[in-house]
Amino acid sequence: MNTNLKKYISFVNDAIEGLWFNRNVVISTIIIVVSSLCLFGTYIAFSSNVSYISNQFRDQYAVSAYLEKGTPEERVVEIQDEINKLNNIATVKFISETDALTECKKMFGKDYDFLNGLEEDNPLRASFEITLKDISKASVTSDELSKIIDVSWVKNNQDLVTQILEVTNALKRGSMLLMLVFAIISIFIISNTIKISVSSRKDDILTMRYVGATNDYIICPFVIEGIIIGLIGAVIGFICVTLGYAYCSGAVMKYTAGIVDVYKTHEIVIKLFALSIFFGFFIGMTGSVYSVKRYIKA
Amino acid sequence: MICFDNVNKIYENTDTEALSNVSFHIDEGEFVFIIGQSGAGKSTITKLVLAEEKQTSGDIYVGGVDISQLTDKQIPYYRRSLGVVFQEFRLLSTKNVYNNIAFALRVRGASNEEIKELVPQWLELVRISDKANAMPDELSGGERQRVALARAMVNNPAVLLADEPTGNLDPVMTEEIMQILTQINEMGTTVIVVTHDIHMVNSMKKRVIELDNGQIVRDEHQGGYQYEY
Repeated sequence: MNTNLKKYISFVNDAIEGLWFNRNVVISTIIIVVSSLCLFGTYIAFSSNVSYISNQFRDQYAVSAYLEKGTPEERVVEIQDEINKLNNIATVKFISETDALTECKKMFGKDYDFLNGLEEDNPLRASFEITLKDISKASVTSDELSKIIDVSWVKNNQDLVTQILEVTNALKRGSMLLMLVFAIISIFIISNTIKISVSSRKDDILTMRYVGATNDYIICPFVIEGIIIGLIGAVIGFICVTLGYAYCSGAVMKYTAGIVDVYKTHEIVIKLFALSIFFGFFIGMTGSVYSVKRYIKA
Repeated sequence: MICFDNVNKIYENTDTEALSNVSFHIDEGEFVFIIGQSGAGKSTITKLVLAEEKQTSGDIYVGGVDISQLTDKQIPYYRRSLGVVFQEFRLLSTKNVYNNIAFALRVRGASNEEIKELVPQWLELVRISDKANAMPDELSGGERQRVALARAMVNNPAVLLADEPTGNLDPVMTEEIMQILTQINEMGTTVIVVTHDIHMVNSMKKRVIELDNGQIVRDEHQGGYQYEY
């Protein structure tokens, strides 16, 4: 067998031996990693959904530019060109007076009878439904649109846009700040727990040095131990968060009657899994390297 | 084999002079006791030979190697040429007896075949074959020290350094360890025992280097403990 492979197998065996021997400390460490990863996973799920909901809003948001009654078709084409030349325009859709009436009838469903007969003298106006590249600049774009000749008025729901943007930004900032605090606390607790686990074996580390083990030879099994602890914690944490998410997302959809659309569990599960594994691996490895290095010298 | 030439050691943090102009020479195959009161400098000699500390001045050669010239990366490889046992046994707590001994072989990259051949031999030699699967905390003090001796010797080092090897043992166990140390020495290994054990030193009648306040006050072949500490 290849010498290096043999060496790494021996490191893994040593790590498993160490984990079993220190199983009480290991279990406490795993519990702490799981708690941290549950917080981390909750943050990921929450922030992903805040972005998801705000993106949905962005996608659905449109400014309407209503035209003067009787604007000729040639002029409509010119207006469309003028709108397209503006900076912040994503898409432009023309809604004729007839289309507007049809939409209106659809909106009222079975009760549209009172709209019958309006086809001859349609009171509704033709309009352009315009989506924007940056909805925070809806107000500026609306001003530009209202300056176009034959545009009667522009409806942009600017107050609603501002409010929703403020709320989503505040949620994102708040959750990021919370996550930062949680991450710092988690890293501190986890590295201290690993440090306790390592310091209980500082005599072993000293003995290994006296026997002639190189620093790499001493560190490797501890790092593998740390990674195994991190990964076990990550998998358990991931399972807890996924089960919790499945329950909560179901409840949100049910109690808001589908108005608030959040990610389905299967849509977010891969992201959660990948990030949990990365976080568990990273925290386990750095925590153990940092802790063992304190006891390593020539 | 081991040569101390005008060695001085001052610990910088406490500014204490632990060794002062210490010179001695130990030949290959010798059995030497280093004795002295607490604080006489015995442990400092152990630390210097193990390259755990560096001398302030003077030269130390072990097997022709100038220890002060060793880089941090070379030190582990140098230590593999020594066998070392301690008063507190220092067995690896997570490994059983067999794997404690095998560890010293694995560190230097021995093959599985070599490990399977040498570990049972040494278990037999220190008379602890029946405890191969026991964990260190299941062993008596004497058994632990025998495992430590087997681990120290399994790589066939030229020098065995024993720091108070019988300090935690009763007279019966001490006798057993003395026998094993003699056996190891008869196999050609240079044995250096740092000790307080009057009985051990007096009964074995080997070379004695006595330290007092960091200086050699006696270097006697077939010596004994002249004073009781």
